[in-house]
Amino acid sequence: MSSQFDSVLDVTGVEGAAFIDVSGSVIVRNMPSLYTDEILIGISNRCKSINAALGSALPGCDRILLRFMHKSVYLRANRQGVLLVIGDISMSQSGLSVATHILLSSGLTPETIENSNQRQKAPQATPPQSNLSNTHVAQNQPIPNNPKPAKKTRSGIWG
Amino acid sequence: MPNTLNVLTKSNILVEFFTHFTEEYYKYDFNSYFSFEEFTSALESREKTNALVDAASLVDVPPKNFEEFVERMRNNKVYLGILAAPIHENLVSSLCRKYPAISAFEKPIKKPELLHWLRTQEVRKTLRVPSNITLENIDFKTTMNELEKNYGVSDYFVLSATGETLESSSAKSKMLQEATIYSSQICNKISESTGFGNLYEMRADSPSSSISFFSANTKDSFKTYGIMCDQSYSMDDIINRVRLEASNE
Repeated sequence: MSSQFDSVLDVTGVEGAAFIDVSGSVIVRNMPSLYTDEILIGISNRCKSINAALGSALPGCDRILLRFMHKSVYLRANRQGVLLVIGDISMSQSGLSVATHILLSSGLTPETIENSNQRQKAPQATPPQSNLSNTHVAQNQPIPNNPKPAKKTRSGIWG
Repeated sequence: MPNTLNVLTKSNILVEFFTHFTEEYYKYDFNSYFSFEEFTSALESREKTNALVDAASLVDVPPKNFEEFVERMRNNKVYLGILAAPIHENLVSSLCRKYPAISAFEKPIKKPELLHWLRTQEVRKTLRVPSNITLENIDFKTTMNELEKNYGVSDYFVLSATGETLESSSAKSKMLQEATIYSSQICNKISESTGFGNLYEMRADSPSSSISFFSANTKDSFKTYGIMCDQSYSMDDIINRVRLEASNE
């Protein structure tokens, strides 16, 4: 599953990434377990508010970078949802811009997520569990076979 | 990444420095973007041009290669400048010793001295710098105004440490100001819920434009800047320049 995020996780400073769909559910994540789904959804929702606030000045805004004293947060939206990346303060924005573009344009779609989800469910040797790594597909969030595209709203593609 | 102008070297092949060269030396970083050969070839494909090289990017270049590089630049009339952060002063000193034609300014270099020196040089064109920029219209004292003219900045505002508006570009910037302040308050909520610490920079990008909201330390206090610029310009360069200017205030 984590292979979907490899291009992003390879960027300097990145600690983890998650994809949150338009309904606000964490669909897939490769993120340290201390960042719970609740935290990720909270960050995503607040960034939607930021986007709405900036919407009139910056129509079509699809990327937000927040640099805090200890961590950096990067969000990139597409029609399916929001890719959320958390990293340290050295996290490279230019690297992320390229990596997330690659991921969202070709590597991370509802279909590939669903395929990966099915592979995860297939019987296989049980890998050792790590307490630090929390790589999983959110099993309680089924992916619709034909998800409806997000409606384009005044605030752009953030929903 | 150098963020001060402590050492600026010059040689008989002439050196010219614009602050907006920063984009160039990022892109011609030996270690990250181009091989040494590619860098040299890229410069040679241009006629009578300039290059500002970050001394940090020269650290791993073998001396023989650098010697050849200098020679090729000289033959091709490429005007070479070396910008060094304090940590690389020794490197620049050794280059000065190795190449007697290269001399170093007393440091820290003063702006009037730099301007005077720039104006006495022959070259006016730079790599990928908009053609409307000339030495004459660069005024370090009017940074924001210059940014607006030459860096694709469409809106900006400057706030004091107490939140008072010190400068703003237009009535529209008031809207930008309100939006970014509201956004920073939301970011504070994120900070509270995550423990990520205080926000010090926020960036939002669309395919055509960027907005950045950040603080810069002056000698006595700090100012908060909100800047909107065209996506074809480097917001990193703008922020670096603003922070550099603020540190000198």
